[in-house]
Amino acid sequence: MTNPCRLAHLAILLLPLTALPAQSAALHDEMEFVRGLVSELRFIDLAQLEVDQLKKKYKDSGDFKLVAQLHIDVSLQGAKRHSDRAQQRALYKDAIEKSSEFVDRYSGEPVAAKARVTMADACIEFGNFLNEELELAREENPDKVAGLEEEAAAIFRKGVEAAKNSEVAFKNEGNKIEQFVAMLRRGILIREHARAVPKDRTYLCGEASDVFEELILEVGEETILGQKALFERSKIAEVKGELAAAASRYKDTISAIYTSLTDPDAGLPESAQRLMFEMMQEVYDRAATVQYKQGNSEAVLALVTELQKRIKEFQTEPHYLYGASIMLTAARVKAASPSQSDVSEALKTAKEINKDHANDYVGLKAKYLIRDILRSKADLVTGALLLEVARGDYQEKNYDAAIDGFKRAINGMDAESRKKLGFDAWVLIGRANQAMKRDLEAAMAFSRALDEFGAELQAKNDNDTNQKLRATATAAASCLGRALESAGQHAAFTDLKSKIDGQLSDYNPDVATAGDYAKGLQAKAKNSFADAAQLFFAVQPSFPKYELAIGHGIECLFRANKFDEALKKIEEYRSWAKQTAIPEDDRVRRGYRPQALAWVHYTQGRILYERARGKDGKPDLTKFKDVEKHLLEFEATHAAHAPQQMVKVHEMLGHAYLEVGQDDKAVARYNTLKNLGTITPDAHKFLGAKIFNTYTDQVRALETEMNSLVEKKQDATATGTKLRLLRQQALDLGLDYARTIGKPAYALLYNTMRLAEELEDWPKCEKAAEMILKLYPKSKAGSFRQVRPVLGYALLRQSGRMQEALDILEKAEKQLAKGKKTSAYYEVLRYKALALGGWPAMDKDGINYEPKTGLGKPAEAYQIYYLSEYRKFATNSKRTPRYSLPWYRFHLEAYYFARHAQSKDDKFRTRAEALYGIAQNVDDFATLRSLGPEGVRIHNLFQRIQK
Amino acid sequence: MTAPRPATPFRPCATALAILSSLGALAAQNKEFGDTVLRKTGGHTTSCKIVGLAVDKVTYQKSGGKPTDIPASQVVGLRFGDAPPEFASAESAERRGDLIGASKLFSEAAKKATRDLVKHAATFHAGACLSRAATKDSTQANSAIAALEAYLSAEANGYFVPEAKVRLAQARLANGDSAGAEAMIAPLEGEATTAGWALRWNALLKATKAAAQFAQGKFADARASYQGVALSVDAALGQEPLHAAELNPLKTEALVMQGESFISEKLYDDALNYYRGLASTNARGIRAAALAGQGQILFLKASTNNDVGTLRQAQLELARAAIEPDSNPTSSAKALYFTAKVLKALGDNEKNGAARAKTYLQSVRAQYATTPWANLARKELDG
Repeated sequence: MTNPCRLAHLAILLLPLTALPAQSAALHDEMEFVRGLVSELRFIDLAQLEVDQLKKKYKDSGDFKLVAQLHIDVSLQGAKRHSDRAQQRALYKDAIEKSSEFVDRYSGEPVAAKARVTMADACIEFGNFLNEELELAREENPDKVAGLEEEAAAIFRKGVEAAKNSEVAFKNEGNKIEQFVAMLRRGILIREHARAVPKDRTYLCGEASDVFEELILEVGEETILGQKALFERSKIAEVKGELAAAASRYKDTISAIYTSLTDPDAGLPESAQRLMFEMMQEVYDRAATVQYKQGNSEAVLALVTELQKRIKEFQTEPHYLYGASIMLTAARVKAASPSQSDVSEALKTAKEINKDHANDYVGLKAKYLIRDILRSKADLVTGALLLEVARGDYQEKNYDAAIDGFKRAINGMDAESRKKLGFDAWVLIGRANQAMKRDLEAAMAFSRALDEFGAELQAKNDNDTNQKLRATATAAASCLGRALESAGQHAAFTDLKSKIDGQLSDYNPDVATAGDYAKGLQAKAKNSFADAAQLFFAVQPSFPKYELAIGHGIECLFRANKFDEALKKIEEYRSWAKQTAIPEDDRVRRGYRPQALAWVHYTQGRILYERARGKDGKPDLTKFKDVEKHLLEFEATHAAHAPQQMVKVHEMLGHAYLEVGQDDKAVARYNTLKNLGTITPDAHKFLGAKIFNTYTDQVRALETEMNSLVEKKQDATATGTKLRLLRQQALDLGLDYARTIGKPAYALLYNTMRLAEELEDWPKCEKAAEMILKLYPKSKAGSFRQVRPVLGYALLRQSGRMQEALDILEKAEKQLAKGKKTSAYYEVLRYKALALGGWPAMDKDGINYEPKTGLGKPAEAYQIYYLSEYRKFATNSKRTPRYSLPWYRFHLEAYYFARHAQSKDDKFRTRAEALYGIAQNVDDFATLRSLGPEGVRIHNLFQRIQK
Repeated sequence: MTAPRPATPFRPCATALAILSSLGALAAQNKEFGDTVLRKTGGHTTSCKIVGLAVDKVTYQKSGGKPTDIPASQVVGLRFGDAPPEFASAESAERRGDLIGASKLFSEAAKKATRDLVKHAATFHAGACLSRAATKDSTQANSAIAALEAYLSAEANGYFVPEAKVRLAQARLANGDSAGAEAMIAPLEGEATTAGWALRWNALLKATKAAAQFAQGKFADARASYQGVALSVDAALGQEPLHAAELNPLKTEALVMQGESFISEKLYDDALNYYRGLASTNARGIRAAALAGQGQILFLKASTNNDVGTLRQAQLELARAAIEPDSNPTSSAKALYFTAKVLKALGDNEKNGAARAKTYLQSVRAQYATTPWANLARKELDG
């Protein structure tokens, strides 16, 4: 292996960083940010984007060259740190290309010297990368060798030129340290060029040797730079193929470094010691490689042992790259051993290195070693290790390779390891097949695991093992289920299915019983409650959902109307649960128990409730008390565990309260359901209708009371307020009910409409009327005789709806005109007149006069109102006694029409005056004013119209 | 449908090659005493010069020492310190299964080698690799024949003679001269016994003879010869356990090919009975081959009349074969290949059958690229 010469550290130690030219603080910050992205955060792509932005920003600035230099650094650092070798290659090329452009552009400026250094470093890095590729290609892809050699040679030549130029520049500056480091770079570049191109090797090695010799003479062997030069020179022998000489020189270098490190008088700073120790690790790695190439396996292992000893002595860690590389060399030695333990150890080491160096050169070599061992020496590797290697493929989702590996592992296991690992290997074959959706193969592999090892493992009787067996049996059954589904349940699979079902019963009775549970759920879903109950009660207590199965079973008995049987099961279950404590650590069952207890309590409540409701709608009121008691207990105990059941509990309680006359409690339950947003249509239909009827009964009672108070001329204010409130509640409930229920009863809708009319809530009145007309279009009574006039009037009372009102009223009039004319017909005539001519009115505060103008046709209104049959109806003395409120109202409206019509036709003036005079009577409205607030109101309106 | 003739799995030097490679046959070294001899025991002699490579002994010399002989049967690997770099690259290519590439590199090495011993060894390996590649390309077969004959002519009593003769027969077979190959083997069987060749060569000779008979349509003869192979392998394993990795697949192949001979004669029931008997053995690798064979026959029987029931039975046997630990990846490849065929044949009877068949073929193509089933899978996928 060609270890790259990492000059970066050396440069840091020996050279002060080249001072950056003056630059703006802003640019400095931005550049630092970009460097941080690369070095600390490893966001190479982001750093490159940032650099592109900076290049645009400073395009015409004197600082552009700094940004350009930054671009090169980012590419180079990115290349070094990237884990993908293809990306690495592209980044190296980019760094070198950009460096070259930079140097050409600023060749006369001081900044070019730094760029040349960067370029030389980039050439060393990329050249080493290419040498690694070459080494692998010579072993694995000989066809690529020629191209790689050519590419490497060009890079090294470019690097040598850059190093040489920078050397001259630093010499001219009098910067000796930088000059010598540049010289070291040049030597390395020439030597690596020699490594890359065998045909030029001899003369290039000579040239490199001369460079290093000169450098050592200049700086002295005792300096760090001198030692580095010595080490780099010793690599020449290796490049030339003089392995024994290289080994000897590496040994000398190691001794020299070790001596320096242990010399108490050397006074090396810690950073220098660290650097030298790292260098020593590199030399060890090279030395081991050379010994390995010579076939000196003992020497390789001795070097590894010595290095490990020294790492311990200096209390440090193996170098990430050199440490792994030397261990891999040792692994290659051990892989050659006929000893099973050595080969296994080699494979283990290679596997670990491959894992840690997934994408670098050492990792690649580790992969090749693993491949070679598995191809030719798998029989010498322990089954356990082969299993581990295959597991690695499995984890990397190389399932085909993993399956082969697991099979190889099984073959490689002796009786002892088969006992320990055979089960796992088969399970993993199953899982890998499962992952590839090869269900039949997966089922067979799982089944095989149980076949070969199940009985023995089961005998251990420990929780973990039992869990594994259960999971495997379940996986087998589940995979086979899918295979069968794909195969249309073909009979050819019957034997396999019987076998796997048997294994499921043996190793996972819970799942076998889970089959009953699942079938129970299916039967329940199909409303086959008796069958479902039977299946649920077949579930065994070992099944984690046993208690839920009991809950289902009891519910199914209830739904199958087997109340006695259900109650018996409830008692049995309670008794069992009382005696059967659940272990503290069994969280699953501990979670299910309260659910199950709540469930049976609830089902018992439903049974009691159904029994109280009685058959054929004849409730047994005596039993509702028990229902209430039971359900309140449920609420107190289980509400937190059973939010779903609580919905039904509220419904049942609401009903129970209604049945026993506790309407307020019923309404409270109903409101709770509404507030929770959980009210079901059934609950709404049942409870809502019941409560609505209760409300309307109460409204009627209050109306009677109110009338009585008025008749008796007693204060009815409180009753009126109460009545209004109750009407409002009833109206809201009625509409809410109507919205929720598909087709509420006609009576409920009609009453709702009337309540709205009473409350003069015309939009709601309209809504209720519309619903009646829509839901009961053929109801003669509903549509035409009772509802349309109300709807017309409701529209009439809403601003801007006059024409709609008139249209409706005309339809109603046509219908009502047929047959015997009722009061509804005449009311429609009045409403029509109001729609056409408007009517007098005060504002809602009763202070300002705000007449409604209608459709602006007072003459037509007068015609309908006063000159047609309506007057006869309205002034019939039996129906409308003279000087009564209705009589006054009739004259007020007629007067209003005439008064407004007179502006277009003066003949109405006389009529208006006549009507006013009739109403004014001889007592000047005294009678009217005596008729209470409504009389006063009508009088005021007369006055307003007159004004 | 008859299965393609499997590439001979026998790789006589695989273990030795791996060991040699790991000892560093990586770069050419210009060193007089740079050879290595690897012994059967695992020990090796380094920094020596190999001075003689005879069929019965290997002679080496340490610097300043006397020549030392070790029996050829005790040697499992050789490394030449002065071999050109192509030699090591060729070994690497051979190790990873690129036999054609290895042959080219060995030829290069033979041209560049400066020592006759190395030149002849490289020539032999170049021919042996080509022969092992089992190519039907007559140019390559002829090249193999020429290289092997050149070696035999140069080293009539050489270390590689037994293998060279076996490979020569194989090359003739590959060249379409099955009768010639069969005729050549008969005297070699005698020579193997009298000259005391390693038993593995005897097993390979028998396998080559059986393959030659098979190729000529002499299925009953081939069957008998394959039976002999299985016995020879057992004998060789007793003597040369180090070669188990190469010998076991040879035995599996011999057993499989007996079944194949029935199939070639369209004696499906006989084939099925044969494989069923084989499947009852405890030897894992053989069981996998037997199960795959059963699946194959059931598929062949069912595919003539699209009998879904039999196709389902084939599917089951092939699934069993696919998970069975085998000693030869060919069995797994075959099982997966025929599973794909079964899934396709099932058509609408199998949910997503066609799509799933494709994944099986892709597995064969990628994971079992060195088996003959990979080519068939490739054709199915391309077709």
